Amino acid sequence: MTTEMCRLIYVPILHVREDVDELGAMSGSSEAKEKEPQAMEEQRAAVGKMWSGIAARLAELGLPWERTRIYQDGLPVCWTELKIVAQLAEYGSRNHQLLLDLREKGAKLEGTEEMELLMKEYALLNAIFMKTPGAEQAAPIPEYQAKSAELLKARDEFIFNRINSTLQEGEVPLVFMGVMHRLDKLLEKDYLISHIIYRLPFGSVGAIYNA
Amino acid sequence: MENKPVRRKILVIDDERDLREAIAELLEKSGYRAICAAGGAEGVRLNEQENPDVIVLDLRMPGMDGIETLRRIRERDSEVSVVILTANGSFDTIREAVGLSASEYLSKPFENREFIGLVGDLLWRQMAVNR
Repeated sequence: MTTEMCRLIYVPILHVREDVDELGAMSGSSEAKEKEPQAMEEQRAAVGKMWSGIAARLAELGLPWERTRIYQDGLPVCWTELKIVAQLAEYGSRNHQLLLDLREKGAKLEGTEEMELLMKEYALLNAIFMKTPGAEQAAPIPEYQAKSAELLKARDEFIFNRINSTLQEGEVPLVFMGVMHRLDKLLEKDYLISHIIYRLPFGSVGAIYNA
Repeated sequence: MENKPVRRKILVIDDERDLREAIAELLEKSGYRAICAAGGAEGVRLNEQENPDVIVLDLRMPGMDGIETLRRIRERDSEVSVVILTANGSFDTIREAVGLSASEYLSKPFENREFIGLVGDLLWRQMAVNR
């Protein structure tokens, strides 16, 4: 007897300031926004197009939303997942606005990441921002890349186990994950992965979030 | 004497002739000067000769593929903006392109308006950086 592999929808995404601010990753964001209004506007437009493209492609898939479970990069397992998503959506995060739209259609939102690992990641980012103001607009910082690689691996392992332990029979997992995660490599032995990729404006967004 | 505005140069590297020509025509109609290469090796050579402002690169090409082409371009030119334009590109390949400092990824089919807007954004960013 052969066992059919479960289908998994994997959406590689780019993070921007609005996606992480409220979780405490950045400080002084409004000041930075005032300093670079043109750059920020351009970034928002490019990222807006990325999310419009993702939303359109997801709509084309015709997923059974009542049987779809969403896993989101940066969303901790904490019992207040919806509150966090709503707050970030209010902040202007297109990523989190889409999550709310999908939830309205019937999809379930699942806490995805281990809080402790996320806090380590934010502490690392903050330490670099304190040392290098404006770092998010620069090229990926080698120090951050080196230190975050191990953390990223640990986060991916946690998310992989989280998906396997929470996904119910007959459900379709829908995963929104930063481009530099390697979670899909862990998942591909258990799931048939469909990548949804439309536009990725690497050059427009702060490189450090996606290092 | 009348001063003509400088037309910004865009190098299109794509093995599919019809698509390459369609993209070049679209760019020309939008006021850019399009230069075409039918493969990676020709693209690397034209990049060195013509010093374009933006490169539009297909990832899936026979012979020297898009990633190898981008790698060779980056060996000599770390600055030029590169738009990856491809259909059904594997995510691993796209991730490699990010590592090689590609500026944008856009999947085929795409809307002409979005593509031209994207090229315009890249050129605007270059001007802002060099100002």
